[in-house]
Amino acid sequence: MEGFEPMATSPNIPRRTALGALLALPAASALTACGAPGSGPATTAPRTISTALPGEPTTLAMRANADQAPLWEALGSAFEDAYPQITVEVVTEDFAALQQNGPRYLASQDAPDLLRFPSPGDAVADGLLLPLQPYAEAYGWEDFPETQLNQWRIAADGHTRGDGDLYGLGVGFALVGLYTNTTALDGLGLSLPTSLEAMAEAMAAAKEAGLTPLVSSQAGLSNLLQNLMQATAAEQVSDWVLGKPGATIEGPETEAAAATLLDWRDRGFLAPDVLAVDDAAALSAFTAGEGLFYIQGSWMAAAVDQSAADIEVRFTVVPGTEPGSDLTATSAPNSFVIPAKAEHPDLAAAFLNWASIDPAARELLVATAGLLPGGPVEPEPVFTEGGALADAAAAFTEVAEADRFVDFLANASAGMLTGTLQPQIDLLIDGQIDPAAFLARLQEDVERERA
Amino acid sequence: MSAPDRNRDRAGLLWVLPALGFYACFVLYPLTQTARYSLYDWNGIGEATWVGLRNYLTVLTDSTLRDSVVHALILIVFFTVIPVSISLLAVAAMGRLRTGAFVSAARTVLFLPQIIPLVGAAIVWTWMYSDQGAVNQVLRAVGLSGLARPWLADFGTALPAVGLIGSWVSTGFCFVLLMAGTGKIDPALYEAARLDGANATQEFRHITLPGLRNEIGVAATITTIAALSSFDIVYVATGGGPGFSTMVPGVQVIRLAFTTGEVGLGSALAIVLLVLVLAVVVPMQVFNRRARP
Repeated sequence: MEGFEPMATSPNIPRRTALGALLALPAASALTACGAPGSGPATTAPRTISTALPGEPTTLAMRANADQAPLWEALGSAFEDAYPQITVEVVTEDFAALQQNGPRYLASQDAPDLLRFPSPGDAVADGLLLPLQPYAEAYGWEDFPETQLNQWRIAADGHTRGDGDLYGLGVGFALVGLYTNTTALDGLGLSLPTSLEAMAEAMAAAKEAGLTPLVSSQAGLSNLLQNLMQATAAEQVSDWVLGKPGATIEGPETEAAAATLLDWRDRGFLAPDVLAVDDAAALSAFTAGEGLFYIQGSWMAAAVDQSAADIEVRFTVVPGTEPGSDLTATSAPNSFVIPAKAEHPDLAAAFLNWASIDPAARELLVATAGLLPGGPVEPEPVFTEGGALADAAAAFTEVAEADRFVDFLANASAGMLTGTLQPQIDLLIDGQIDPAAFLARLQEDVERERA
Repeated sequence: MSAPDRNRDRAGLLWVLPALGFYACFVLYPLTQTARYSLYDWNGIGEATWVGLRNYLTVLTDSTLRDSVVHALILIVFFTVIPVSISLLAVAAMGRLRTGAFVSAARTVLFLPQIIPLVGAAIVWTWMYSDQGAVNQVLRAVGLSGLARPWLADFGTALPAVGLIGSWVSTGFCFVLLMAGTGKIDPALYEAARLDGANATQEFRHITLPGLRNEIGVAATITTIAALSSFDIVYVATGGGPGFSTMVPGVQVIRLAFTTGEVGLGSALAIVLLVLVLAVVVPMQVFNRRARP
């Protein structure tokens, strides 16, 4: 074993000088390349757009998330059927990896024509995205409900969202809502709650009856908290997520919402081990009839309909503070962007337009992925039978007509979900920090990341 | 130094040149780049702003980043102290029965975790630690259901639970290293000790332990580096949670550089981690070499 010694150095002088020379080599090259890394946005000449599809055979390169691969493949082949000269080449990868690699794909020399890109981050400021404003005007996207578009409207500073030119478009939407086990609700002699107070009363009754009042996964807690905030401070939350100047997540309303979450925890409305519950466990607990309510996105509606064999389930928007108050819903689309370096930007825009308005494409969104088509309110998707998915579509249409969608807290910055929201919610629920400290940390992290 | 000696050295240099070339290209050059990035505020793509040592100041003052370094130091107990101790006990226990079916079976069982990829080990342990997993099933079966809990989601148990995955993996490596080391201890020493009436404890203290000093040093060095730069197990098992209770610098560097687009801060943390590893490992090496008979 004598020879097996890491870090052992020998007194052999020539080897040392050789090593020294090798060490000096990269050091020297680093010195010569000692300017700042990276580069500023390239100036691009204004270009004219076209809404006409190419006549010759052309390939549309699309890069998207693997968990929805069947949807992207189905949309691709439906587009090929409609326009036989076009080939849609779909490449997919794990969502988290796609999110991390996104800026690098945009900056690369062989950027795709269409990229699934969840949140703008610095991409606009770095000049990586093609402005979609000319297409929005040419195709009439401006007439879509504004809260479906404002997540991708970016001001001239390159960061502030909500107003300005359009840089991305959603294909298929989902919204967060409340699933109710109406079999259990009927058993308690209650009807669907129309206010948060009525919901709390129903949860207290469910607790008495030995049910988990509110089923949630650890990841679902941030959606629950966001809906409690939206009941009284929807505009503040929306402004904060979109990064409007001076917007803050701190304030009496949001603090009260976080306090309500802790009150619900103290009254036993959440499972005691909620921090250990993952999405799959929450789904199976709820569909097995162990709970009364279940907070989750409509992206799970098809799964709920499929696995809830013994209970009736309804899906509604989370109620407001009192009956009849304006309903809001947390919602985000599968956002796509066109890289500034895309080879076929006109074709990419034509695809986005087709996916938003073509009846066949809208049907595919519902049938393949349980997603709700955005864009124009008509034609509404057709559901052969009721259930949570049909409820979700109705709820989506209702909120779309009122134009009251709010983007996810998680989209406030690229690191918000994994770096801030999830760990800080753990600390809040575990009682290690209070609501004020929780909100202060969200604010602090967003400011640091945007700085 | 005579001329033939110098020629031989030149020939030797020629042989190591390809390896050194790769080392310079894939280790030393990236290292200089990491040091360079650490002085900038940069998102990895756009324009970078020179910030001097501000990123280092953040690493040393931000409580989350500082705690992650403390967690890495705690992991040394699980990656190094526990595996080396268990391996020493196992070697001492098997020392008297060098061969036989029991010894080779025990050796295989102890070494198996070492050949499983860390990600696979972490996934398996995540299942075993879950609420309905094997660990809780065993506890409930023996009437200790009061102790059952979601181990990786509990603030109090998450870090030790992650650490024990590391112990499980490291023990095999340490054991094989020490077992091989016992082979070069002169059997005559044991025989002489026995004739002098030494018992098993005295044999272990005065013959086995000193004889294995080099191997213990190597095992401790390698597992300490693994503890301080741990990434795979933590990333897969907890992602740093619940809260930040299992966050380690390795995971934090990836998160800063690729998720939140703070390449400068991530690089600064990586450099601090490098310095920390050297600060712990170099004294161990020096001590090990000085103490050598």
